[in-house]
Formats: sequence, structure tokens, C-alpha cells
Amino acid sequence: MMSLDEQEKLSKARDGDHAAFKEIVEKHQGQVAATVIGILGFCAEVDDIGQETFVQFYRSLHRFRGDSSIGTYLTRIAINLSLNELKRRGRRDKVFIAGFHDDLGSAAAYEDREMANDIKDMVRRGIEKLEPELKALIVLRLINGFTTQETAGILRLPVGTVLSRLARAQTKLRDILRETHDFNIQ
Amino acid sequence: MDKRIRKLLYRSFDEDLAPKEKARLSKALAGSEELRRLREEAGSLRRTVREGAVRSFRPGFSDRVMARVEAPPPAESGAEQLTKAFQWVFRRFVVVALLVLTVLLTYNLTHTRGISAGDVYYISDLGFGKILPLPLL
Repeated sequence: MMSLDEQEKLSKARDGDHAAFKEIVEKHQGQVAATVIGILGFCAEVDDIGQETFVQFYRSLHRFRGDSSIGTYLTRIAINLSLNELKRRGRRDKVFIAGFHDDLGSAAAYEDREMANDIKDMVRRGIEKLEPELKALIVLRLINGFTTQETAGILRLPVGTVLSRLARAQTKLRDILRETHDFNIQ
Repeated sequence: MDKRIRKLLYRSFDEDLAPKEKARLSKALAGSEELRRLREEAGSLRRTVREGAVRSFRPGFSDRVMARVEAPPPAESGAEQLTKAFQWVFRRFVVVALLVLTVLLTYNLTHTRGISAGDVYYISDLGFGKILPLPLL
């Protein structure tokens, strides 16, 4: 459910207050970025898909009844757009772009920042190799932290399917990391 | 390693297990070094996935979104307007046409005896020889 602050911003945005909508964008862009980049990887389309997510939300402001939180609603749009993009390009032309800044502020758990960076890079590349439906689960559950019920709701899947696919996704990710990097995470 | 126990282990990260399942997993963990290692590894992997996620677009993202939101909708060209008008009219005609066709077909099939495709299209005695009477050299 939405907080009072979110409801107020939403109401203002519906009345045409662009500053209020910009605040919504700024608050939720991190979650949308994690979703889109998690599914598509670092590619040229990421920024466009992110923008399109918010533009579609803006156009549907009057239809959005607030049954779910804004974050959940935006994530659903972002997931659908990202999966459509994957289908469209058939994963054939991944274009890595330079200059993407990375948030590694939470790398304190590792003694060596470079080492942490390498591990995270490997894991990100491993995720890119997963099938789209497994990738979507990893992004929603592990990256965005949605509960299994919320994840099931967003993907319109039974909770049991979400749980079994999550187990499959983790096993597969571990196997990919072992195969491609001869790597054990400890 | 027992596949069911491994599944149970992964599930334990995502939901509360039933007391019986919890007990089964605890017992298996106590008796298997490999399973304990797998639990550690799965936990680390999940942490790394969460911490390694990139949670930002290029700088100025919200400005780019607002520029798109504030931009006036692109004006339709004359050709686009004409196409839309045709589509609008065609959709209405196609529904009526399909309805009439269905009624006629149903009427003919229920009220006519011995109807065949040949009768309908009048092609029963047509052959290539009649259609293309090429002179033989």
C-alpha cells in the first residue's frame, strides 16, 4: 500500500504538477534501474526502457487506483518492457557501453574493493546468461527484495512456481559461475 | 546430495518452512558437510547478487524523463490521419460483413440439400485444359 506522502504526490501529479511527478521519478528510478539493468544487462537500450517505464506510468496516472504501491506498479511495467525488449532482439546484439557508473558503496564486506568489483561483475554476467523467466525472478526477489507473494503477483505466477523457479535459478547461476569462471563464492 | 533436501534448503531462504520441514532440514544440515557448504554458498551468492545490482541510470535521468513527459504529443501527418480513418471505417464494415456472411452461410447450409464447394464456386467441371487452352505445337 502507498504511504500518505506517496498518495499526496500522486494526487498532485494527476492534477498536472510536474514537480510532484519528478519527485516520484527520483524516488523510484533506482528500483526501475535495478530491474531494467538486471534483465537487460548494460546495453544501449537501458536508459530508453527506463524512461519508457515512467512515461507509461505518467500516461496511466488516471487509471492507477493504488491497489499496489507505486514501486510495484513501476516494476511490473519495467519487467514487461524489458522482457519484450529481450524477445525483440532475441538477445543477439548486446552492446556494452562505457561510462556507466556503478554503485559499489556496499562493498565494505569485502577487504579488497577490486576483488568485490570482480565478483559482482562475474555474478552480473552470470545473471545475463539465465533464461528471461529465471532472470526476472532473480531481479524481483533477490535484487528488488519483493516477497515471494509479491513476486508471484507481479509475474502472475503461482507462489509454488516462483519458489521452484527461484531454486532452479540459483542452482543454474551457481553452475554458470563455476563453468565460466571456475569460481566458488564464499 | 538428495535433490529434495537441496530444494528445501533453497526454499528456506524464501519462506518459512513448516515445522516438519524445518526439522528435516536441520537434521540433514547436521549430518552433511556438503549441505552446510551449499547453504553458505547460496547465502553468499544471494548477498552478492543483491549488493552487486546497479541501481542507477546515467546522471540526469529524471530530467530526460520529464523532457519526454512535458513534450507535446507529436502531430499526426495527413497520411496517418487518413490511415486511421480508413481503419475506423473498415473495422465497422468488416464486422457487419462477417455477420451477414455467417447468416447466409448458415441459412444455405441448413436449407439446401446436397450443397458442395463445386456448386458454390461453380468449378466442378473446370480443369486446366479448359482454363488454359494452350495450342499444342
